[in-house]
Amino acid sequence: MNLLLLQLLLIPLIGSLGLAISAGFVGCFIVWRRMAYFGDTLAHASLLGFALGSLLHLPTNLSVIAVCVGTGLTLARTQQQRKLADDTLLGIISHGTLALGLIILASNPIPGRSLHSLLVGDLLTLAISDLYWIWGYSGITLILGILNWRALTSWVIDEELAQIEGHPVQRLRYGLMVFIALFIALTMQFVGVLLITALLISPAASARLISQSPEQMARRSIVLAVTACIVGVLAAGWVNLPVGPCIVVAAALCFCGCFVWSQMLSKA
Amino acid sequence: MLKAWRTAVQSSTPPPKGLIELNNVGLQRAERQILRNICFTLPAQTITTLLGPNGAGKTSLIRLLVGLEQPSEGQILRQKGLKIGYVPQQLNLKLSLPFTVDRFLASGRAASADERKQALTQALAEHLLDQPMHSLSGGERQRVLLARALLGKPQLLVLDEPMQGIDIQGQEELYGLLAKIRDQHQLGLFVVSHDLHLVMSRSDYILCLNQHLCCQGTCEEVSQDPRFLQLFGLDSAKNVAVYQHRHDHHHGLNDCSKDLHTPFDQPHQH
Repeated sequence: MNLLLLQLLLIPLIGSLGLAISAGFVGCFIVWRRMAYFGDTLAHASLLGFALGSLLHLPTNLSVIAVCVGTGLTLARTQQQRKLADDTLLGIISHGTLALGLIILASNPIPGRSLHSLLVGDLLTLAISDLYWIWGYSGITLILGILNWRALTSWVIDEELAQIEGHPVQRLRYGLMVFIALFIALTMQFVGVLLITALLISPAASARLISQSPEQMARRSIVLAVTACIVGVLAAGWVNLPVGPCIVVAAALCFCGCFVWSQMLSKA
Repeated sequence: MLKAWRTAVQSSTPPPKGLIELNNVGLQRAERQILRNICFTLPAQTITTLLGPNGAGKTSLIRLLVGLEQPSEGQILRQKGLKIGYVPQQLNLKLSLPFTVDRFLASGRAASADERKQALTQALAEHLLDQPMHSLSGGERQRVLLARALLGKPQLLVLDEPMQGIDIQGQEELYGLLAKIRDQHQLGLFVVSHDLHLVMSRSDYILCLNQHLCCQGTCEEVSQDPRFLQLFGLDSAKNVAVYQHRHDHHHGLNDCSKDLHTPFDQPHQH
């Protein structure tokens, strides 16, 4: 690989590294709390946020964050009603926001940004300023996660016992939703609306197969996510393929590897 | 500001007489009255049993007691700093989250490794310490839940139908264990059950629930209360027993008043 290519890939590599650390960590909670569909819904909503931002001439970063966090909090509130199942509600909001985003983008195309690039992402569009956002987010997520680790795991293991034992369950639930929404808002442009959930759940699911404790699972999930991102970015740069899909395929291959490994371990 | 307001409200209400005091508590859910006019005081260091038929609102009352739900009427006064250990009917384990028994205990109230081991020993399950939670049987899970509830020295232990799925001998053993825990840890126990026989003989105090409290008292008092007999249809059972000279029923009822002397020798208050 020549020097020029490496320079070209340096920013995407640094960016995806930060992205992978938080994806591996936050992804564990998505797997534990069964929120994959919730993540998908926020990803679709993020497209609406992007479209609205360019329509109203607002900074798209901020409009995407506002729409994602707003949708997440709305969902958290509406999920407390008991007439409809969560997945029904998510299905409506997920496809409703996606369709609305597509309509706005069709009537108000963004110069230099194709719909395709939003759906599958483009890590090569990463700018230095994006690195601050991504690494800042990853740092804060990791620090807050570690500081609240006891309460978080207690809550994930059993919500009612955690509440009786005095953990702020409601705050944890909203907090997690906000952090998932922020992750999706910050990374949708680079990984792509359609692929973002895969990046969140594949490393955590792979780690589950080979872990015996929540701590082990979180650590291994981060390692696997970082591996998938580095492999994906390098492969994409080498053969000139779209980066987002390469990362997701690498993460899926990691899952296959872990699956085979866990099968071999259980037989041995 | 909210905090100041809360403490002001708390200090204006008198402290409860026992561990928890319920004043005219009612619960409405989706326009249906689940509980009404519940008044009682939960004494310390006593095994109190809540009896009631299906749909009587037993689980709802427990959820109010431990604070998982708020009453729609009346008030619930808790002793200041009251710590409650709760043993739910069952634990919904997620397959996506792996952990051992010890890790499960560590996610409860703060306790050292030694304290966790001790609690497990107390619940007669020390051999399970390093087992994965997902591999436990129903009875083993119940013991682990009991151990977790004991962590952090709670003043009150609340158990929701702990006898479910446990055979007669196991139930006898569990009640013995609970009595031992009451004396050793000097805590109050609140047990929900629908098994009359055992409950009657082993509880210090009994509450009978059917949306409201039909009757309450010691085993002796309750078993002679016509409302109790009506609720559980024991009158017919008793008649049959007398007529046929079937000793087990008759025996069961008399027996409980005899047995009662043992737990009542322990110091406790009502």
